[in-house]
Amino acid sequence: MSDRITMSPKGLQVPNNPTIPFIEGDGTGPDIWRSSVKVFDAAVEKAYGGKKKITWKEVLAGEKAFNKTNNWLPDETLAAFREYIVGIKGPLTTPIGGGIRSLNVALRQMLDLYVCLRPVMYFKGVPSPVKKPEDVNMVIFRENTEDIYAGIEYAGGTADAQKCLEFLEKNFPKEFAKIRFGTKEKVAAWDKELQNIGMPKRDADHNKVFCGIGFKPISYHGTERLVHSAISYALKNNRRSVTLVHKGNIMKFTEGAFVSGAMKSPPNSSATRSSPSANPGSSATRNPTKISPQKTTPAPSIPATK
Amino acid sequence: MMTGDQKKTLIAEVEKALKLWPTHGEGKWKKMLLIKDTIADITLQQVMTRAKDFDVIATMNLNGDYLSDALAAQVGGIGIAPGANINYVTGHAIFEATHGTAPKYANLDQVNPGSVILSGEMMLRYMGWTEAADLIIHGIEGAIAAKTVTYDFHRLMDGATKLKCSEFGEAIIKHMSGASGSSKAKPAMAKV
Repeated sequence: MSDRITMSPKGLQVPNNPTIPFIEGDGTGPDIWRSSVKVFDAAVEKAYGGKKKITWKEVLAGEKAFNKTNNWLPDETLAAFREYIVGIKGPLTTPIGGGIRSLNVALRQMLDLYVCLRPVMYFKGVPSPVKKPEDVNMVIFRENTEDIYAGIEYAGGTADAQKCLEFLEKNFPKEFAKIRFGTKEKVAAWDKELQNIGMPKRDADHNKVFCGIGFKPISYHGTERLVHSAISYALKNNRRSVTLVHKGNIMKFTEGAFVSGAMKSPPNSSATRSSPSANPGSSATRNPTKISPQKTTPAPSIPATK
Repeated sequence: MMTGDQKKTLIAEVEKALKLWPTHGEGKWKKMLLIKDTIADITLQQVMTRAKDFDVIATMNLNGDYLSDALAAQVGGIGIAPGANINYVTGHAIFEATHGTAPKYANLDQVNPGSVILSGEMMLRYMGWTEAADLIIHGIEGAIAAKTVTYDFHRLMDGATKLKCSEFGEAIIKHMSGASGSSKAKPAMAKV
């Protein structure tokens, strides 16, 4: 008789005979799963002598799901991961030209799985390209729901990208002026420079604005939950340090805000919108100002994903 | 060569010296967690040149993508790097292979199952089944130390025995028993 894993305020509650959904995966997935599940069952059997046992429940996704149900990611699969809390999956094919960008991304978004956890450790004897691979013992907490990976981008030359450019031109003219090829005039001027060194004249179509636009949302709350997870992990496991990796020297109010947010300093509402050169040598992250989250102005809403 | 007593005295002296004065927290810093930040481009250099300076890393989506793949390559682990996607508030977690589907190797029973096996190891640890997770680490360490590996490692190792995907799983199980006499597994991935 198998049971469900549940979540309580005290944490994960795992019965002795939990049901765990698995997706075997496409391509080499079935080979790998057959080999892996034997290892899991053997380890559990050996560790607990039959007192604990996993009941594996296959759920479909990817090619196998498409062939059987005409759906790359059936609702039942998502429902199973929702219900049974913990699950495992093999590699999946990304459908080309389908409605879903990537099955992996879809699963992450639907369950709001905000931490991508990637431990990196060395096993003695594994061929490595470096001299001391054994020095590497790191655990990466990668934020999984924000950044340019949110998928908010507009292709250059489309009406949508043009709308973004016009929004900037109207509301933030100073910043709009920084877009290197944001206007027809700038494109034409460059084309002329090329002609001056002998490039043949190209047709008028070539001189249109083709500038793709992407958004990079990094929020205080998204930062907080990721960094809290990392710190909590480090404390539980007697780790020595947590390193925040960022490009806050260049992207002050996204990557820089990640660091100040992590250091318990909520978004600085008094910071000027964009002044990368105003404060050389001392980034905003080194001078966190103490402002409570309640006092800050709400962030402007970001255009919805297409 | 020192006698046991001399060694004891020396160790005591060193310990005394290392313990900082009361005004400096009496060495409590050793129990504290250091939180620091580094710029992403420099980090990609330093994880190579000063790997020991890095432990837990917290970063945003794009940086994390680059960094995790670069580090996996550094330890020779592209084929065996595990991963998990977790919401620690609801408890939801999906453990997953970090590699692709490699369709040309499908149904040949040839590829390295390490990524899914180590993802399962993370899953067991997340569930609190630490003993089972330790056995998997122990088994993998044993199988690799015995040079019984799948083709991807085999072609880069001297004197190794090439195993099929299924056989590598069996080798891991065999080495769980500790009959191999290899060192006790250190739970490097610890509590997820």
